[in-house]
Amino acid sequence: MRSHTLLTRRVAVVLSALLALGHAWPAAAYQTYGIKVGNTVVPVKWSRLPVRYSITDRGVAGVTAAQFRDAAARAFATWQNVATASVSATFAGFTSAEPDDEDNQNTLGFASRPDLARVLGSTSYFIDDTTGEILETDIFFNSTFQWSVAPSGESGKFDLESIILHETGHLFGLGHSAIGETELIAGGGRRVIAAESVMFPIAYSPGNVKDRTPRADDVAGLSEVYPRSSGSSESGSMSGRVTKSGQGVLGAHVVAFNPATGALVGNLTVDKEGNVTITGLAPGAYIVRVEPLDDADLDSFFDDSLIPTVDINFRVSYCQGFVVVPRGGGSKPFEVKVTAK
Amino acid sequence: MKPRTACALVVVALVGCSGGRAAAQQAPESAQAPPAPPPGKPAPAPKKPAPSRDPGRTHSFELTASVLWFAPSSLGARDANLTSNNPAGSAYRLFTASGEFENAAGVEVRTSYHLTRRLAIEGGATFSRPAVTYTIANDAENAAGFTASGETMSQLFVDASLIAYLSPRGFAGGRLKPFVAAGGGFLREFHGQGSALSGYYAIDSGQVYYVGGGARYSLGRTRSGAVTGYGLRFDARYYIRNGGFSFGGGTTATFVAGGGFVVAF
Repeated sequence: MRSHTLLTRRVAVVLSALLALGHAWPAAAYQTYGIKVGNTVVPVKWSRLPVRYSITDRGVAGVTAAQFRDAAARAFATWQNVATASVSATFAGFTSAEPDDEDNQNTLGFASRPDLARVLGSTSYFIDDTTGEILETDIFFNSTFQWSVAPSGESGKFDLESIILHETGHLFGLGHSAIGETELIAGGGRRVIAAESVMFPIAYSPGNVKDRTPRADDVAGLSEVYPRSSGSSESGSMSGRVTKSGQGVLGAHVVAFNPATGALVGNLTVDKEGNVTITGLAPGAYIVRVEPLDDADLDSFFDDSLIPTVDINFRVSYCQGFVVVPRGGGSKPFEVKVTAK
Repeated sequence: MKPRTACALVVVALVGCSGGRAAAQQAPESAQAPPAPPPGKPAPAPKKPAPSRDPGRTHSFELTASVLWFAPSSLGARDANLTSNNPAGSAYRLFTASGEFENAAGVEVRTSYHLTRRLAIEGGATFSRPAVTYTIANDAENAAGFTASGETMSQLFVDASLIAYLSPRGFAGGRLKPFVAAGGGFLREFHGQGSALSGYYAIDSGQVYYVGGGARYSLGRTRSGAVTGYGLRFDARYYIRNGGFSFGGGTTATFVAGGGFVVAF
């Protein structure tokens, strides 16, 4: 049994800043976080549930501590209600602790961070780096922004429940999704045109409450890390490669579209061979689309060391033919050949 | 009976013309009554009529094996949508995908039971391997549209139906018997590859309903044995598929026609 003592090596990892305008910190992997233990990458996850969390005992203009608590409860319940995943969390009470203290307490709260002018929220972890077990997480929400808990949102204010849902996705070990379209805005940064994942790294505009509902991509990610015992036998996966001129492409965004249900689930090619695996898919025939990772900053998805090798110089392309995902198994390997712009 | 009666009448007439010396000593033999049995033996039982061997008679069976042609049919279309950032805005279309079953051959086995000469109930199993093609269009990042082969699926219908013959005795001397039919059942579709029914990994299920018609044409009858006759059968049906593989869910339609060999029992 690992404990929070000196016998355990704890690694402080700061991950997953959700950005208002499109700039982020590096993440270890897409869809789910993992750390390397020896020669194996193990998922970063809680080994014991429910996660007990505390809420800082102060609010901000427009949001009391009690309203913050209620919004957090709704967000956790949303993840708990994912039918194919098994996660849970319980409210442990209010605390005066700051949401970034290493105090063996999982704390959510507001913090004034004017130095992070484009960061709405951030999740930090303490992880046992021999097992990947999450030992503690803290989440702050930047009080320099205007927040709202109104059921239908408020103009000019970010929806707190949506951002809590995103950050608690990170709390459970989810990485960022790239299923979204953005445009550059004056002064730097990006504005979301549309997205199809709560875990997209850039938030919707103030007043928008659409990120209170997980999409297929979010569900697939959570179900991969915390499968419900009956659900894992129902889903399948697909694996393949993205190549350009015969060489693997790192950082290509691969999206699987289920024409029967409309679900979109994606992942990135994660190595120089261009390999990609997408899990948590309902069985059936899929259309696979490949695009360059040009709708968010690369450091939302990759370590700084990998960014120079990420290739975004290619056109959108599709797999020729369906990729069939079996129940409880993996597809036949596919290959998508892309061409330079 | 007739020859015996004719002889008896002649004998009576001849006796009458000779003036009475040849008057009958006994009453003329009755032409209708059977001969009296020998003393001590029971009267023979009346013979039962031979059972009918008419194909299509009440309580008879038929077995049909057919080859079918499945017409091309649309599988519908669906947009791959992202949720727009505009609270009041419509979905953001990433691309549009549409699909189609190509025409395909199939095989079928059907068993009919005649409730009456005019009505029959039937059960059948139909198997085909249609190819699916799909088309991509309207890509948000202006990727070129295209049409490609998706896969070849295996499709199985198992259904029950009611057959109504337009004339119990048929036409063309009873050889040709047109009918109308309606029925329904379940549908199973198998994605992936394999031989027969092995190696298929993803399965879609649903229901099928159909209306149609056709004709049975008798080629011949037999005098003895379990088989009472044989012939040809032609069918045309309009199927509605509910569930099963499609782009966007909902129902799809397909037209099927074919012919085969029927054996009557």
